[in-house]
Amino acid sequence: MRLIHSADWQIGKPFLRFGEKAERLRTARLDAIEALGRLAIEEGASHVLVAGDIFDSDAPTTATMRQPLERMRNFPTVTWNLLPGNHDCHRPGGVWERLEALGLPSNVRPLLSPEPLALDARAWLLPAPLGSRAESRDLTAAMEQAATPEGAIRIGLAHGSITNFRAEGDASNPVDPDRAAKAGLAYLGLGDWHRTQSINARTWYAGTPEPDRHDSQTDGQALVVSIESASADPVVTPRTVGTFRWRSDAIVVSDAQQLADLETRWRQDAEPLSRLVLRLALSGTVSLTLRDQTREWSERLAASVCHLDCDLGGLQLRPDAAELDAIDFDGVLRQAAERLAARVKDLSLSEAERRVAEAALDHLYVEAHAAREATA
Amino acid sequence: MIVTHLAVSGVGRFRTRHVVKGLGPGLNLLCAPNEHGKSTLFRALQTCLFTRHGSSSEDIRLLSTLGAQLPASIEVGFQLNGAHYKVHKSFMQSRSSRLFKDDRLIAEGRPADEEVWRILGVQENGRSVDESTFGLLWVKQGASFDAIRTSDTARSTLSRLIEAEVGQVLGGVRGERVRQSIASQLAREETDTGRPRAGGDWKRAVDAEEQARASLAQTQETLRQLESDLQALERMLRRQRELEDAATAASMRAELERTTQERDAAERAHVAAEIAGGEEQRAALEHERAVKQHEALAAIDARIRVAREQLAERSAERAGFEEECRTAKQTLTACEARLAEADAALATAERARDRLARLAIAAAGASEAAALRKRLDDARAARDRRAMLSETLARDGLSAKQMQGIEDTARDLELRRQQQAARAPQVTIRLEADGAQRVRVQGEAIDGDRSLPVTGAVQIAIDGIAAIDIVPAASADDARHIEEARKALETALRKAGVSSLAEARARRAATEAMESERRELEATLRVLAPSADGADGLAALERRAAAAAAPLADLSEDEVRAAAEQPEKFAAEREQADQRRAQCREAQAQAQAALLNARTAVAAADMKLAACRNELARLEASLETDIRTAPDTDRAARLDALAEAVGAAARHLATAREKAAVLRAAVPSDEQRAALSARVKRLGEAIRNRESEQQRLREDIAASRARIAANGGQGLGQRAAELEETLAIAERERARIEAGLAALRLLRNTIDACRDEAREAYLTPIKRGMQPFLHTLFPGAEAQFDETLAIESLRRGAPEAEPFGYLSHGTREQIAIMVRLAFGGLLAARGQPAPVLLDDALVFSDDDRIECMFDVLTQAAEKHQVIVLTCRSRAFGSFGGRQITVEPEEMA
Repeated sequence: MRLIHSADWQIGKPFLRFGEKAERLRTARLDAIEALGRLAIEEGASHVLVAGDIFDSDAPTTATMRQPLERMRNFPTVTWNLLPGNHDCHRPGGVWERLEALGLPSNVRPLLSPEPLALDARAWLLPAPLGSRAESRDLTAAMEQAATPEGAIRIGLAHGSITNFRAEGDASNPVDPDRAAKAGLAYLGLGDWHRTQSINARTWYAGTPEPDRHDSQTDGQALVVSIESASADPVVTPRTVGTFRWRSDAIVVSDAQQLADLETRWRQDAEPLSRLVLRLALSGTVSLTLRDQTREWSERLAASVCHLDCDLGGLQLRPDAAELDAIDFDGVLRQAAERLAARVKDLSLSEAERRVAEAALDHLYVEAHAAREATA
Repeated sequence: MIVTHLAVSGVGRFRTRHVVKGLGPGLNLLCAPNEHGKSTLFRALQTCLFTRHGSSSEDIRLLSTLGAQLPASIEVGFQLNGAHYKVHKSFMQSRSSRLFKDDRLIAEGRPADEEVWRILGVQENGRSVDESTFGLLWVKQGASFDAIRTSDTARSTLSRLIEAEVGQVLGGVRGERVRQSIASQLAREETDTGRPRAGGDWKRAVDAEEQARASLAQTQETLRQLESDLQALERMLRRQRELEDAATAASMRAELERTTQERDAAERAHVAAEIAGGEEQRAALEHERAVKQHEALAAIDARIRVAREQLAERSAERAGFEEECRTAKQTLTACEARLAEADAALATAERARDRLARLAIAAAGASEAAALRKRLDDARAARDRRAMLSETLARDGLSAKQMQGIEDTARDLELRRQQQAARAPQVTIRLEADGAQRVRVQGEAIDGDRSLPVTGAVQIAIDGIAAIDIVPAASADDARHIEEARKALETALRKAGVSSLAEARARRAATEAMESERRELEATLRVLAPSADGADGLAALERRAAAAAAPLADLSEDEVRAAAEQPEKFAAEREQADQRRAQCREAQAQAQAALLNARTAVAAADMKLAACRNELARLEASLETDIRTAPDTDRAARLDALAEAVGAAARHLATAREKAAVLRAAVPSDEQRAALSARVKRLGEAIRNRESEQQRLREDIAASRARIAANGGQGLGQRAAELEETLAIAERERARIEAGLAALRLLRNTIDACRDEAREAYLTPIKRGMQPFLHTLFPGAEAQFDETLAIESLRRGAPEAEPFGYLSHGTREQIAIMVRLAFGGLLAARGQPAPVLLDDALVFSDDDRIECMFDVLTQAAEKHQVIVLTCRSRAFGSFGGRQITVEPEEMA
C-alpha cells in the first residue's frame, strides 16, 4: 500500500515577528495541506497520516480550526488521519472535541484512541494519541499488545522524541527507536521534530510540510511511504510540498564583491528569491564605505526575498585612514574614538559592555561623518 | 604692542591739541580729576585704532568737542615687533587717515585704516571691526567687574596661542555638532532623570512591551483558568466513570444488604437472650420465694417450740417475783409507819420550841409593838386631816393665781376709774352754813364740802331749790375701758366663785390657812411614816406594827409576862425543847433512810415482776400469732409441701439459666453490634453520597463544558501565542533601543570626558598665568573657566566653588582684571604683547585689596604695558609706575 506521512502542520502559528509577511506564512501552511492532497492523489495514496501537532495550540480560534478542515474536504478521495500531538493533545473539552462539535468532513478521521483501526483490507493503523502535553510514558509500548489480523500490515503513528536522539523535539514524550521491530510494525511514522529524518528503515520523522523556523528544515516536505508487505522494509521517498524555503547564513563581510557574489548564487537557485525566508548574521570589520554598501545590499536583498532578518550587529565599523582624514577626525573626537576602541578590546569588561562600546564607536564615526558633511 | 603716544584735538574737552605725556612700557598711571578727559582719551585711542576715519557714527559725534566745528583729530603712536607706528586720523570734518611706520608714511585713507587692523591683527566684520583681544584687554569705565565676554575672534586668537602651547584642539564646531547631535538624540528619548520621554521611540517601546506583557498576562491568566477547567473536567469525567461503574455500585449495595442482615440477626439474638434472661430472673425469684416461704414456716415452727419452752420458764420465775414483791411491800409499810411516828414527834418538839421562841420575841418586842401602834394611829389621823383639807381646798380654795388675777383686774378697774376721774371735771360743792343735809349728791345728803369727779351723770339736788344734773361729755374710750375692766373683774370673781373682792380676799385668807395646816400635816407624816424611794411610808409603818404584833397573836399576855419575868427558867425550857427537837430529827432521819431502802426494794421487785409478766405476755402473743399462722394441726404437712416446692423451683431455675446462657453466648458483643450498625449506616451514607456526587458531577461537568466552550472558542491558546510573539518583538525592540541609548550615553560621556580633559589642558596656560595674581589676593584659590574662556567660578578652599555672579563687585572686578592680565601675559609670552588698559578700575576694592592689586598690576607690567586711568589720587597714591599727564600742545 501507499500512504503519505506528514506531521507538525502547526496551523495557527502567529509568525508576528515577520510583520506584514505573517499572513503569507500562515497561509502557506494551509496551502501545504492542499499540496499534500495533490501529492496523495498523484501517488495513488488513499491515506494521509499526520503524526501530531496539526494545530499550534490546543485552544485555537474556531476559524483557525475550520481552515484546515475545509482544505482537507477538497480531497474527498483521501482519508486524513489526524493524530493528537503535544501541541494539540486530546483532552475532554479540548480542541478535538471542539472539532467534532463543528462537524468533521467525512474524510477526516481523528485518531483519539489507541485502538487499532483498518486503513484498508490489509493495513491496520496503530495510533498513539497524546492525552497531555508532556507524557512520561512511551505510549507506543501499547502497540506491542495491539491485536490485528494475522498477516496484516501494522503501521504505527506517534508523536514524541526518540530517546537516544538529541533533544530537538518539543516535549518529553519518549518513543523507543526500536518500537517498529518490537511491535511488529511495517512502518512507524513519527512527528514532533521539524526535520525529515530517518531513524531506521522502518521509523521516520516526516518533518513539517512548511518550515516554521530557521535551523529546522529548509524546505517543507512529506514522505511517500510504499509498503509491499508486513515483512518488507518500506520505501520512503521525501517530497517537497512547501511554498517557502527557510535559510540561515552567517557571513563575515570582507568586501562588497563578496556580498554581490553571494546574492548572485542565491539568484541562481532554482527557487525564486521571493520564496526565500532568509536570516543573515553579518560580522566583520568594515569601513564606512563598505558599511554603507552592506546596508544598501541588505535593503535590496530584503526587497527581493520573502522576508529578510539581517543582523548587522556583528559588523565592526572601522573607518580607514582616508575616511578618517575626510572626517577631519581629530582632537576630542579622535580621543573619544580611541577610548571607545580600547573599551571594545578590554576583555575585563563584559560582553554586553564591549558591545555597547562598539555601538558607541560606530555611532561616533557616523556622527562625525555626518557633521563633516554638514559643515563641508 | 606698546602705546607710546597719544594726542587729541577737537575731542571731548580737548578743543585744542593735547598730548599724553610719559607713556612707556610697563606700568603707566594717569591720575586726573573727574571730567579731565580720561575716558575721552580711552575712547579716542580705541576710535583711532579701530574705527574707519570716514565713520560718522553716534560714538564719533559724541567723541567730538561739543559745538566745535572742528575735526576730531587723534594721533596714536605704538611700538610693535620692533617698529614704531603712528596713526593720524581726523573724524567728522576733514576726514583723513594716515599711517606712519618709523616716521614714514605707508598708507592713507581707507588703506591706512585697514593696514592698522592688519598690523594689530583685528578682523573686519562688515562695517565694524572685531577688536579681538584689544576688546578683551581694554576695559572701559564701569565695565571692569563685568563677566568677560570673549568674541569668537578673540577666542580664536587666544585658542591659537593656547593650542600652540598645549598642542590640542577642542574639536571646534564639528566636535560640538557631534556632541549636540548626540545630546539631541538622547533628549528625544530620555528625560533629564534618565526616564523614557513621552513621545520618544524608547517610551513607545517600553509602553508597547508593558502593554504586550499585560495583555499576555491577562490572556495567560484566562488560559490558566481554561487549563484548570480542562484538568478539572478531566478529573470530573474520570470520577464520573468511577461513580458510574456498575460493578462497584452493585458491590456496595450487596455489602449493605449483607451487613443489614447481619445486624438484624444480631439484634434478634440479643432480644432472645434478653427474653431468656428475663425468664431466668423470674425462675430465680420463684425459687427465692419458695425458699423464703419454707424458711418462714420453718422459722414459725421453731419459734412456737421455743416460745413454749420460754413460757414455762417465765411462769416459774413469775411466782418468785411475786413473793418477793409482797415481802418488800410489807417492809415498806413498816418503815412508813415508823417515819410517821418520827415526824409526829418531831413536829411536837418543833411546836414547843417554836412557841418558846415566840415567847422570847414577844417579851422583847411587846413595848415596841405598842409604840408602833401609837405612831400608826397618829399617822393615820394626820393623813385623814390632810385629806380633808385637800378636799376643802379643792372645793373652796382660791389659788394665789386666781387671787392675783382678781387683784389685777380690780386694780385695772380702779385705775381706769381714776384715769376717768382725773380727766373728768370736778364738781366741788361747798356748803354754806345751812347747807348741811340740804344738798344731796346722787341722792345722798352731804354734810360738808364735797369734791367729786364727774365721770358720769351726777345729780345734785338742793332741797327745795334745784336739782342739778351734770352730764359730762362722755369719753367713749374711758367708759369702754372701765366697762371692760369691770367685766373682767366680774369674770374673774365668777370663776373664783366669789361675788366680790372682799369675799375673794377672805376666801384667799382661808385658803392660805388651810394650805399652811396641810403643809404641817405632811411634815408630821414624813416624821411618823417616812417613805423611801417614793414608797408609801404609812403602809410601811403599818407593816412594821403588824410585824411587831404578830408574835403575840396566839400568846397570852400572862405567858409573855411570865417569860419576861423568869428568864432563867425560860432559858432552861428552851434548851430542853432544843434537845428534844434534835432527837426527833435524828429519829426522823433514820426512819426516812429505812423508808427509802424499802421503797427501792419494792421498786426493784416490781420491775422484775413487771418484766417477767411482759415477757410472758409477749411470748404468749407471739405464740398465739404463730399458732394462728401455722396451727399445729397442719404445720408439718405444710412444711413438707413447701420443701417440695423449693426443690421444683430450683430445678426450674437451673433450666432457665442454662437456656439463657446458651442464648447469651450466641449474641455478638455490644461493640460488634455497634460496629454492624455503624457499617450499615456508613454504607447507606456512602451509597447516597455517591448518588449525590453523581448528580453534582453531572451539573459541574455541564457547567465546566460550557465555560470551556466559551473560552476555547475565543482561541485563547492562539491568542496567547500571538501575544508571546508580540511581547518578544516588543522586548527585542526595547532592547535594541536601549542598547542604542546606552551606546549614545557612553559616546556622550566619553566625548564629554575627553572634552573636559582637553579643556582642562587648554585652560592650563591661562590658569597658570593667572595663578600668581590670584594667589596674591586669595592664596590657594583657583578660577574655573568655561569653553568661551569666561570665568565660571572661584574656589577658595570651600568644597563648593563660588559662581562668578555670586561674588562681590569688588572681588569680581579684581578677578576680571587678573584674567585680563593673564591673557595679556599669555599674549606677551607668545610674542604678541598687547597693552592692558583700565579706565577707572578698582573702584570697588578696599584699601587692602587695592594694594594687592597694585602689586598684581606691577607684576603684570613686567611683561606687557599696563595703562591705568583713575580719578582717585589718594587711593592710587602708592601705585607707582609711570605718571602720565595730559598737557596742551603749547606747553609740550
